[in-house]
Amino acid sequence: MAASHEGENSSSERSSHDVHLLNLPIENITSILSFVTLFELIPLARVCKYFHSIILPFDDHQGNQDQDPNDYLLWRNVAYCHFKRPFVDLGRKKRRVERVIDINLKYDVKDVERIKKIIQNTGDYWYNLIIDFDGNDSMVTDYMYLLQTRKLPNLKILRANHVDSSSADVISKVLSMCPVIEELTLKQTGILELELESIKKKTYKTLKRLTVNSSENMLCGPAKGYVVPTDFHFQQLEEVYLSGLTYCDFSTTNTSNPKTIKSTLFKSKKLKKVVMERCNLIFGNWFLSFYPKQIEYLEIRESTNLDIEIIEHILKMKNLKTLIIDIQQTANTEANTEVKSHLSDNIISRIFKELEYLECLDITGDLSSIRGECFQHLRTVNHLTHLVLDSTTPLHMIDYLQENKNTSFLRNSSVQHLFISGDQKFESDELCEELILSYFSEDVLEDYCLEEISTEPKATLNLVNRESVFYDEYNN
Amino acid sequence: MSETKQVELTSKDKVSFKVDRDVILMSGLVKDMLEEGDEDETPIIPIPNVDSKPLQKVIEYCQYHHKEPAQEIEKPLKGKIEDVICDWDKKFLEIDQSLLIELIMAANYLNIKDLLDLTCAKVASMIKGKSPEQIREMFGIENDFTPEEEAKIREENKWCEEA
Repeated sequence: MAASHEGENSSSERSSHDVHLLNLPIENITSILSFVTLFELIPLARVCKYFHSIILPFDDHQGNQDQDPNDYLLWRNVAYCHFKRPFVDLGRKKRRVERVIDINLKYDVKDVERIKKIIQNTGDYWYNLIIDFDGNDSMVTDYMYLLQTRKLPNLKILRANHVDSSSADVISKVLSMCPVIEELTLKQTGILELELESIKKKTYKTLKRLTVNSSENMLCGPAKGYVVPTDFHFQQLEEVYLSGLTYCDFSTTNTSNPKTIKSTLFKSKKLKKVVMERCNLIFGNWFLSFYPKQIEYLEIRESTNLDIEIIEHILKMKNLKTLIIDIQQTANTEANTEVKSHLSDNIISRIFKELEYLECLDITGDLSSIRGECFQHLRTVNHLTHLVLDSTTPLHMIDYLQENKNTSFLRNSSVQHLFISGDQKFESDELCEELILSYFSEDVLEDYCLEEISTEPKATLNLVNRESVFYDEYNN
Repeated sequence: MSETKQVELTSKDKVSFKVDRDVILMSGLVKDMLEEGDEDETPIIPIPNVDSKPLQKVIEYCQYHHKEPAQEIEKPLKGKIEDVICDWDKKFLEIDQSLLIELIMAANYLNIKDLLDLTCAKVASMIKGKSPEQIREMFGIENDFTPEEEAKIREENKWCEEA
């Protein structure tokens, strides 16, 4: 680093008291205070009016009626301050800190009396509640009792970890105190036996995102009780993430009403996104069958029993834009044998033909049944921009593709990003280029990669976001 | 041997610093500006909101941390900041209070998240566990509450102090 000084009256020579803590703009003070816990914040509010205005809710006499109480740092810091918005939004643009209140009762607060006071005094401002039903914590019962005593009118996000059969009822009751809940996440769930009938109609109607992340190999028993179809529609549900559900039977019927839970529970006209990871797709079968026309995003990872019936359901999803199937982790299982037999040229051809609006097809696993016949149908596909066929077993498609490359003068004119892995003959750059140019439009294709198994890619792909919610920031 | 590309930063008080392009790309602001500019020249980037002294510290920080990424600092801090940062950062933060505040402003303006977190956490560490009186004294803050207002705030938030 080299420095040269051109100016005069350098302000760097001024006295140190020129720059003062209170010169900092509100977003910087907020950043500082985000490192301070709730109980340390309250005394800080008494330092001066500037701090007070940031930390504490407004008083009517201060004339700040326009400011939402949730904007105040106090409520975002009850356990810890969590900025949802990226840093770039701070400072140079108008502050857009999302109104987040994270409460992790186990994190800072260790005694029931304190929790009781927090709940009583701040419950109106809670936005995001994390409950951990750790079996070793003797205070869980107290937490839960307290939570059921107070309505949480602004709570939008509820995450519960280590939910088991004994805590499911509590979750249901807490939910009933949250009239505007939008996101429900049940993580490390042992048994999914929510007492569904105890959840208020209003709760179901506001829920937009449901995540159930079961513990490894946990059985998901039949739901207790029943629901009245007209009361319990997830009318606003937009996204469902299911992980680790190996068996789930929601077919318990209400004796007074022949409709089953499965026909009502997830009956949302807004559902667009479904992610299933480590699931037994026998469970997914009925689930998928209810949304043939509205699902736009379907991701299935490491799941078993991907049989022809599931494939048929997928093919009915006429508005599907993204289809991601990753079955590589299920290798050498009986289920994988079925996958191998069904993900054939015929199936891929049908996907190309019948899923007219598909933009991304990303399949990983044993694709050795695919010879390349399906490529003929690529020529009439209009929306597909991302195509990934990543075979974990040897492919034998290059010969077929070469033989048939001139059967039509039409080329695909939609695929921008192409990745095919698994054929030994992909080692030849000449062959690759010839193949690409015979099936895809050079003008449209932005990047491609044809690779052998277990080799480094020859080109970099920028695929669509394949991130799953199960790897998000709340993974802990 | 290819020469490392450089960038010239000009501070508010007209001091110029030549710094490796790779280093200063830690700044989101500079990165954005460089993406818009001509690659072939040594760009001159004015930093009109930052004086030379804090800018020099910012460059010092980037020179170290562009190769040694900083670890995220937990929120809230459980103890002292010195317990969660590396030795280099501890030494880096041995500066007077005024420069520390200027660094916060500079990190914010230049969009360097790790530096902003580090400096904000340092200030937080300084005020943690202190009474309002001690904080006022430490930072030269005037108590602009009337005794009645202060009593009211204390009363309204008694629940927290009692808990």
